[in-house]
Amino acid sequence: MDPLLDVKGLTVGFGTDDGVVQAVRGVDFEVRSGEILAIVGESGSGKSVTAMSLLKLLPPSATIEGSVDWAGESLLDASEQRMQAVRGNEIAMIFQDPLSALNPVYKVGQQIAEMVHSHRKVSKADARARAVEMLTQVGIPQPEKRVNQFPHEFSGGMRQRAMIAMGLSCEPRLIVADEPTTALDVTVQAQVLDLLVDLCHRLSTAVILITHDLGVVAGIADRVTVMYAGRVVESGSVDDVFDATAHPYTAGLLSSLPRLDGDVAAPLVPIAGQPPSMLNPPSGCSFHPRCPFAKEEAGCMTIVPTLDERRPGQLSACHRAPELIETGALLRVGAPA
Amino acid sequence: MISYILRRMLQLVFVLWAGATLLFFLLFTLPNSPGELIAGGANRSANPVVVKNVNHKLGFDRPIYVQYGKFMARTVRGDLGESYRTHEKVNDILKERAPLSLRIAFWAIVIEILVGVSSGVLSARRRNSFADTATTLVAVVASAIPVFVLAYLMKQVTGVYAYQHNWPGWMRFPALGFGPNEWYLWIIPSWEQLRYLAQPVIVLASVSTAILARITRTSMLESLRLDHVRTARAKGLSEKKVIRRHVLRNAMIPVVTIIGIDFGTAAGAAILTEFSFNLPGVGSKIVTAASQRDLPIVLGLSIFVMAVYGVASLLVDISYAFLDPRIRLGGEDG
Ligand SMILES: Nc1ncnc2c1ncn2[C@@H]1O[C@H](COP(=O)(O)OP(=O)(O)OP(=O)(O)O)[C@@H](O)[C@H]1O
Ligand SMILES: [Mg+2]
Repeated sequence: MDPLLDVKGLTVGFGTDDGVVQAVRGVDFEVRSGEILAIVGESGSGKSVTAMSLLKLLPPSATIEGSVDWAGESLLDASEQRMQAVRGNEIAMIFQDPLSALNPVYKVGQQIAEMVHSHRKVSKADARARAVEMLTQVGIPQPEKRVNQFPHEFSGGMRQRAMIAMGLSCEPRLIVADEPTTALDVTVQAQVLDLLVDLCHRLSTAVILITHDLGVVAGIADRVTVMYAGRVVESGSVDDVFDATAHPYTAGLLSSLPRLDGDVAAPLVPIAGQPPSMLNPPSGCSFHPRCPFAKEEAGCMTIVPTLDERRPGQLSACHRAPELIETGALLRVGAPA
Repeated sequence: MISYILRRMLQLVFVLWAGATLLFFLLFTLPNSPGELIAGGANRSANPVVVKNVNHKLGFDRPIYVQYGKFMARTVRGDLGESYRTHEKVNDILKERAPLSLRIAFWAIVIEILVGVSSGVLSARRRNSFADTATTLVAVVASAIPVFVLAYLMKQVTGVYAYQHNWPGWMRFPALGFGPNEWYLWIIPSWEQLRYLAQPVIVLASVSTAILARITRTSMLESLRLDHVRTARAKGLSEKKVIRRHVLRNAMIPVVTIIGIDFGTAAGAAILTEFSFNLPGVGSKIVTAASQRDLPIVLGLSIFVMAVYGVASLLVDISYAFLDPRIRLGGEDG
C-alpha cells in the first residue's frame, strides 16, 4: 500500500543573525493510513520543526527543501490556498500546551465550531452541534454547558481533550500531535494519550505522535522514528526498535527508561552530554561526541552515516551498526557491569 | 457583567472622592492667605484688617477640617465652587467651556483610533516594508514636532497662505477662534463648524495618533507570536481571518488603555492646542486660574477633569471585559 504521507530528504534551515540554524537535515519517514508513527528525540532534535514544515506553518525565515508527498500530492509545491484546505481538514495538529494554544478570548465551542465552519458548508447551529458532539466524544462531561465556557474555565487535561476534539472535528486523515501530554499533570497524561489513540483508531485517522519520552511510545505506536540533531538515526516497528535497537543513541534512550522486567534498583542512566548546537553541528555522525562506541577508524568523526536497513523494516544510521548488532553490545548499554 | 460594571462605578466614585480630597488638602494647606490675594494686588501689600475680614468672610480662618466639610458638602450637591476674584461660578465656566473641550477631544480620539490603529496594524502586517518604514518615520516626526510648531505651520499654510493665494474655499481654514458653534446631535459639526474644528483637532490628535500607531504595531507583533495564532493557522483559516479574529482582538487590550488615557488628556489638558488656536477650553482656564492663584477654580475644574478621566477609564474597563472574558469572569473565578 502506498503511504499516506511520504517525506523525503526534508531539510529546514532558519536564517538568523548568527548564521543558519540547520534544524532538520534530510529527514525521511512515511506514515501509512491509520497507523501511529512516533517521532522521538531529545529537545532541539527538530521534531516540532519537522511537524510544522509538513503544513508549511514555519515563519518566513525558514527555508524548506526536500519533498512532502501527501496522498500523491506534493505539499511543498502547493499554493497557500490549497494548504489552507489541507490544514485542519486533511491534516490536523495538536500542540503541546493547550492553555496557550487555545485563544483565551473565545469560548471553547466557538473555537471548535470555527474549525468546522472553515472547512464545511454548515450553518452556525450545525457547527455548534458538531462542537458539542466532539466534546462528548472526547469524554468531557456536560458538553452542552462546557461548549459555552472559556479555556481558562477548563482544567489542563480537559483543555487538551478539547484540542483533540477540535483536531478531529473535520475528520482529518492524519493528526500530528506535538508532545500532546508534556504540559499536563502526570496523572492525566496517560488518559489523554489513550483517548487520542482510541479515537484515532476508531476513525482510522493516522497519527504522528511527537514525544521526547520513549516510554510513552511502547504499547501505543506502530512504528517509531528516532531523531537526533535534525536527522533520523533509527526507524522501525516499535517491537524491533525496543527489543533489538540498531543505534547507540536509541540504546541510550532505552537504558534511561525504567524497566518493568529489569532490576528495580538499577539507576536510570541518562545519556551523558548535551544535544549539539544546530548552528554548528558536529562533523560526521552528529552523535559521536556522546557515543560510547564512536571510533576514529570507523569514520564516526568524519563521515555522515547513511540510514541503512539492518533488519527487514528496521533502519539505522550508524557506521558500526552491523558489528554492534552482531556482538549484542547495544543491548547491554546502561546495564550494570 | 452587570455586577462588574457596578463594581467599577463604585470604584470610580471612590477614586473621585479620594482625588478631590487629595487636591483639596494639597491646595488649601499651602501657606497662602487668599484674603491677601483678594484684598491686595500684585505688588501692593494689603491692609491687614481687610485681609482678616476677607479671610473671615470666606471662612479661611476656620480649621481646615471645617473648610473641608463645607467643600465636600457643596461638591456632593454638584456645586464646584466659585472664583475668589471674580465670583465666577465653576459650574458656569464648565457650562461654557466643557462642551468645546469634550467635542474637540472626541474628534481627536476618533482620528487617533482611525489613523493610529489602522496604520499600526498595517505596519505590523507588512513588517519592514516600505509602508512600515514610512509610517514609522511619520510617527517619529509627528511625535517629535512640538505642538506649537505644528499648529503654527498649519495656520500658516491653510489659514494664511491659502487665503493670500486664493486657494479654493474648502482648502482655507480659519486660523483662530471657534466659529459659529453649530452642531447636530451635540457632537457632529456643521460644515462651517468643521472648518474651524479641523485644525485644532488634527493638532491635538497628532502626537497621540503617532504614539498609538507605534503601540498598536508592537502589540500586534506580540500577538502574532502567540501560540493560539499558530493554532488558528493550523486550523486552515485564511491569513485575513487569523488577523481579524485571533490577533487584532487580543492586540487591542493595551491599545484601548492608551485611548482611554488620551481622551482624558485631550479633554482636560489640551492646553497647548487651546492656546495656539485661541480656543476657550477647560485646560487653558486651569492654567490661567493657577497663575492667578485662583484656587477654587483650579480645584473645581480639576475635579471635572478627574471625572472625565474616570469615566474614560470606566469605559476602558468595560471594553476590556468585552475583549477578554478572563477579566469579565475574574470575580466568579477566584
Ligand atoms: N523560528 C526559528 N528560528 C531559528 N531557529 C529555530 C526556529 N524554530 C526552531 N529553531 C531551532 O531548530 C531546532 C529544532 O527545534 P525544534 O523545535 O524542532 O525541536 P524539538 O525537537 O521540537 O524540541 P522540543 O522537545 O524542545 O520541542 C532547535 O535548535 C531550535 O532552536
Ligand atoms: Mg518541540
